[in-house]
Amino acid sequence: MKSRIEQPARSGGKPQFDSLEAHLSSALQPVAPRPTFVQTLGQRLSSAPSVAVEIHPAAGRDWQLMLIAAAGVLSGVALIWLVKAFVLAYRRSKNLT
Amino acid sequence: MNLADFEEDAVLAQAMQGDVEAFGALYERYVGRIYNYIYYRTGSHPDAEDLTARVFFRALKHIGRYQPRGLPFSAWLYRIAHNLVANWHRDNSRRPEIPLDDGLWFHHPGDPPEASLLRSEEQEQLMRLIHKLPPDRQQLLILKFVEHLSNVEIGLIMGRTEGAIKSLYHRTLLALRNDIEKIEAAVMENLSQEENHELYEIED
Repeated sequence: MKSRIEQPARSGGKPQFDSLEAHLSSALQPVAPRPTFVQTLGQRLSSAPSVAVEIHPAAGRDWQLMLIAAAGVLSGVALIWLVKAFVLAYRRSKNLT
Repeated sequence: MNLADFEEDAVLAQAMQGDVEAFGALYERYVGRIYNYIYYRTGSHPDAEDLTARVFFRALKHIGRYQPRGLPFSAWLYRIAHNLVANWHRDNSRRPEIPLDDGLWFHHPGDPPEASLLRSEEQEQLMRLIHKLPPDRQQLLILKFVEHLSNVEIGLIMGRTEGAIKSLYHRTLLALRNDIEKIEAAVMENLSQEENHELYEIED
């Protein structure tokens, strides 16, 4: 079988692609989408909310991280305060005795 | 105002402000082109429908932030379509073969059956070769042969100069022709081997 798609041809040192272009033109023909698909999609688009509020995926995580950090700082402060109170109470009790 | 005969910039401005009817006019203008582009990149009508819907929903979602930057609106839509098709290919990369729907091949009425078969075989072979090209080359061929756009228009869509498009087109045709010649050489070799085999059988 000798394909008719393209026979190499050169004119003035430049390759000619007329045959290949003709085959491409024949193979790549426009296709029409189904009218029902076009109509249905058009209806779906017109009923969709035109303004969408986007929430960045990281936004939720940022709040959680801040909350964890704040809780960590607070519990640290509370722990230091408790230790100090303990030490003070111990010293007082020792001084009294 | 008849939206069918609109000035694109004005309608685009309305669509960017949330006018659904204006977006609908843009949709009607470009749905066919985007569908064609996706269909020839995927080779499947159901996938083309699914991805076309995604393109327009994404466009609707982001049109408020659209910035023309001197490019036609279609360039933005094609860019969305291009990205979605790239994702589709990535997700389907394990599939060995791109499906080729029946509608892709065209029967020419009046042709004898064998001529039609030859033509469809050649076209099928050509389409398989096109699908093996890099995405930018496929996009160029689709925009040129399906959409009949000029090099300048293709350049605007693909973000390249007219000269770059001409060069890419030339290299694409050269690559296609080389691929075709390789296939032809393989077919000829097979044929000569078969002929030799038959000759030996006759001699025996």
